[in-house]
Amino acid sequence: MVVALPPPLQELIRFLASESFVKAAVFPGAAFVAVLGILSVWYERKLLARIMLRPGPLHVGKYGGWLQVIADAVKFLSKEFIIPTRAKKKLFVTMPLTALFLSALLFAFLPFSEYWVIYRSEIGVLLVFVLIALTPIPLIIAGWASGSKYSFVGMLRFAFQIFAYEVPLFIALAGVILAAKSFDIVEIVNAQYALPFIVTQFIGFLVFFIAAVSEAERIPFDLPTAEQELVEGWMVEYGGVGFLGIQLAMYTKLDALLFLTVNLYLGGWHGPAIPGVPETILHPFWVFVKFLILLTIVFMFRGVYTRITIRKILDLGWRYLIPLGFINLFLVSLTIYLPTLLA
Amino acid sequence: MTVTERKEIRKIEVYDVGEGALKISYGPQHPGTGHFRLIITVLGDTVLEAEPDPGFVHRGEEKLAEYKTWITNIPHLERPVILDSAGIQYPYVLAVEKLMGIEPPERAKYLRVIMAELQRIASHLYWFALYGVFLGNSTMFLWCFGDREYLVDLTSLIGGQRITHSYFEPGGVRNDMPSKVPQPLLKEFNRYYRMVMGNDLPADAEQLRKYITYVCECFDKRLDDYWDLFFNNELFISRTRNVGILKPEDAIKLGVVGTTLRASGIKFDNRLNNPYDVYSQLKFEIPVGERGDCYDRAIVGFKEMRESCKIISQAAEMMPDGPVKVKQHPINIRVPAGEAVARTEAARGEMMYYVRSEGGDKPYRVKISTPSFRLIPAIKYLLRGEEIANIPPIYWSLNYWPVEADR
Repeated sequence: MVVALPPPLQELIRFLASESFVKAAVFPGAAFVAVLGILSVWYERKLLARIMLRPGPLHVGKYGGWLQVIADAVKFLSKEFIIPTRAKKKLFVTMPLTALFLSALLFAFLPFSEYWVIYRSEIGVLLVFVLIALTPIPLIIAGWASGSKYSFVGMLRFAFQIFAYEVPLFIALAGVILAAKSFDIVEIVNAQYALPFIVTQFIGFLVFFIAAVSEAERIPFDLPTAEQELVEGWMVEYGGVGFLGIQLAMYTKLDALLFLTVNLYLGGWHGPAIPGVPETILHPFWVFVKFLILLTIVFMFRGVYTRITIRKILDLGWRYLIPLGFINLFLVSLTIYLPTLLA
Repeated sequence: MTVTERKEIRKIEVYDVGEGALKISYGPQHPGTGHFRLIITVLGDTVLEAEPDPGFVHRGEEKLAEYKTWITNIPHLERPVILDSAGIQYPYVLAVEKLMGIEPPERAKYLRVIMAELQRIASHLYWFALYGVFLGNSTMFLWCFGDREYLVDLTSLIGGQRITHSYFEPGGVRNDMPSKVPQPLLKEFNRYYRMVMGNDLPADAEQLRKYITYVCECFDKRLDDYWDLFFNNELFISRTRNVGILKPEDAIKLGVVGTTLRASGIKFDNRLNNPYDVYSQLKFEIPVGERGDCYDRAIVGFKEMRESCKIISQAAEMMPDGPVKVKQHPINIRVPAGEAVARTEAARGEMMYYVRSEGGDKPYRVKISTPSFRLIPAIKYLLRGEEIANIPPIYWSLNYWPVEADR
């Protein structure tokens, strides 16, 4: 017996099952971003615990205390969201969510296989970098809107660092665009079918990776939030939901930057074929494997490194990474145009 | 600074002192200083002047000592620095012994040395834990505290308490150490030993005397990991190398003691220069720094832990059998009139006691000169002209302990 559904419901089911909705809402869209953020927090805690010779989260959740992160999120949600008297209320409340939204939007342009990308654009790389350049702005506004001198000072440090590291990020990117001769991320990945750009542009990869770690405010570049010197820096006034939103935004941004590194330098979904596994699963699988390797490296930094001073951070950014980025750009253009010149 | 001025300035959080300079209170609620406050005048990112403001945890230990009997003084005199309680009660006990004219038995002297060195390592680990975490390295914090646990267990096995053991007393130590190690502790330590050394504990580890040497051997091996991960770490070096340099002549002028003095290149250690108890019979080195910067201070402390391991295993092997105290004292012993001074090398540097007796059952005066108190001028001197980001490495490299300084 076939139950006839009313036409609006049928329409709704068709919409829910449509590819564009699944991409935007489930994978690699909103649900995926939230789960990924939570899982990366859990993974970081477990990995750091191993380095520090302690068990880490253990009791909440059957395996490895994985529910602990969700329990923490629920705790943050149930806390009172205190708005300081001197804060600019509307900005103070909206900025964490804006930051989260902008970071999550990055995933709209990140391909997980040739056809599995929410929005494929011919200028995808540029769109991604516009978003990367936009993400610090809500956080800077948040530091200012808190109405506290401490968060203001922290915000200034944050701005210094972010602007120092966005420049090398873009210069390193220029090398990739030149080598792939395209602004489309899918095209860039396909250009690495034979040889990933990490081999041909190793300097560029280093510059990009270091700048990405700095952009995501990870140790050793976590100066803006320096727990021991500034006590969370620009986010000192945030508690409860606001703090949760900011944390999630930071982790989402880190994840997005690492996925971008995978696509730009590590050859994206290209990897050895595994017999019996269809390409639709194999491609995202390789992206995740490469992403996990990068994520592990970034989290291990926190286990073994101390924080460096603001002067050294700016030194590294302006005096070393930018010249290195230009050297990389020069070498890339040489390898591309030298054959044509000689011919 | 007068008392009224000081009271005034305590009310102030931040205020403008003109020409763009700000006066900022760094502590006592700041997580980076402990119970201690620095009033720093900053121009941009540069510290123009740092005014140390100790005294938040002053407990009047010296005055309190005049109201308690000679024996009941020991537990409360160790309170200012519980993580190195052997270090702070050692000179008191020595001074009282001088007044009473008694000499502890040989075994007690060795036990004291073992206890003092165990606590020196534990105290240094505590120091490095905080040093690391204030530079942003939480692994250092957790490793140091994790490894300290096995040494503290050993302390509690010998002295009966984890940290505040009140183990020393005039004329010996409170009790002899047991001969066997309890099985649960042995099992727990075996896990650690296997992780560090790669093999199980030998069968004779059940004997406490052997167990002590195994703990030292294992910890000495473990320090190699410390060297690889923390002290030979490029970023740790970049934070501490050539920061807060204290030249030898300045170190002498400022009157600093302990690791800070030795890191500046001056070989002064009371264990070597004024040996007490059995230190003259033991073989050990006094590590000395070359440049006197924050890195050297950390390295001197690191090497001292290795030397302490050597001292402990030597003492455990050389320790003779016999009584551990001259006689069981009543709680209200009377000490002959007179005055005595004793100096020892505590974990943070020279600890000195002046004790005066009028012949009663209580001291007439107990004056304590703690190493941390003598580091305060160095804090003021070293922070001048530094960046704000260099305050944590300089402050923590000095191994300053506010409670010990305030007494």
